[in-house]
Amino acid sequence: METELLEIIRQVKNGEEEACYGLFRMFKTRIYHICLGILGDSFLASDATQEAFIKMFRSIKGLRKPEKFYIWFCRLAINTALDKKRKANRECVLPLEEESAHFAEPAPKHFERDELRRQIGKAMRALPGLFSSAIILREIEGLSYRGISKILKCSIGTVRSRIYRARNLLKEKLIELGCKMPTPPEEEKAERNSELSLY
Amino acid sequence: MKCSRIKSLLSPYRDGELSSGEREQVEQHIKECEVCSRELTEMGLVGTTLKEIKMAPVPSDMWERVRSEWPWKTKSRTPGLILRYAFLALLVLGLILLHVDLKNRKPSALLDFPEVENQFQEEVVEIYFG
Repeated sequence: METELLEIIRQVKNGEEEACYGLFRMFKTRIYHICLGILGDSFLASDATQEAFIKMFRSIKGLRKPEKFYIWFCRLAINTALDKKRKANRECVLPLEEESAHFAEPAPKHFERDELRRQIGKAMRALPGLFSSAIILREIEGLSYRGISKILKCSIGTVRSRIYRARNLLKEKLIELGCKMPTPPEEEKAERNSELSLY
Repeated sequence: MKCSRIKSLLSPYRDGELSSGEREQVEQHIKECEVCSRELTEMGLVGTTLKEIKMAPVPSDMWERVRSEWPWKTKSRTPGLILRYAFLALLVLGLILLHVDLKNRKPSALLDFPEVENQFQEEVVEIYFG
C-alpha cells in the first residue's frame, strides 16, 4: 500500500492524469469526512474538499518527503476547512442544508438519520475549530494521539485535552439540541463488563 | 482516587491511550462509581453519534469539480504556445532570409538565355587556353 502510494505520488508529480485520479479515489472519502466533521455542512464540506484537492495537486511537486503525504494532505485539508469555517462564521452564512430543510421535508424513511446528521452538523459547527479537528481525527480517522499530534503540530498532552474538551462540549450541545443518541450496543457493554471483571 | 482526576482520564481511556497503571485505576474506579461509569458510556455515545459522519456519501461530481479547476491546465497549454511561437518565429525568419536572398541576387541576363551563356563560356575558354 505504502509503495503503491509512493509510486502514485511520483506519477502525480510527473503530471500523469490517471495517477491524479487514483490519488483522488484513495483519499476523497477521508478528506470529505474530515471537512464535513469540521464544517458540519455538506455544501461547505464539498467546497473545502474540492479546494483541498486542488491545493494538493498544485503543490505536490514541492513535497520533499512523499512518505509523509498523508500528514501533509490531512493538515492541508484541515486548514482549508478551518479557513472556510472562519469565513462562514464571519459572514454569518446560514448553511444551505438548514435553508433547504425549511423547503423540502426529508423522506420519512430517512427522517431520523437526516435529523441526526443535521444535529451533529449543528453541534460540530458550534465547536471551536481546534477541538473539532482533534475529535474528528480520533473518531472518524481513528488516529492515535501521536498521529493527531503530528498532523496538528502540537503535543500529545494538548491533543488529549482538546479531545476531552471536544467530547464534553459535543455531549452538552447534542443534549441541548435534543439529539437522540444511539443506545450503546449490547456487545460493547458486555465486552466492557467482561474486561472489567478481569481486574 | 477522586472523580475529578478520573474524569480527565476517561477520554484517553476510551481511546486506549493510558498506561496500564492508569487504566487499572480507571477500571477500578468505574466499577464502584456510577457517575463516572455513566460519563464513560455517554462518551461512547458521542463517538457512536459522530460515526454517522462516516456514512455521508461523497458528492458524485467531486472529481469533475476538481478536474474543472485542473491545476496543470496552464502547464499543459504551455508547450502548445511555445510550439506556436516557434513556428511563427521560423516563418518570419524564413521570410526575412528569402527577402535578403532575393535582394542580393544580381540579375543576370545570361541566365535567362542559356545559348548566349554557353557561347560566352566558350569564348572565355578560348581566351585562356587558346
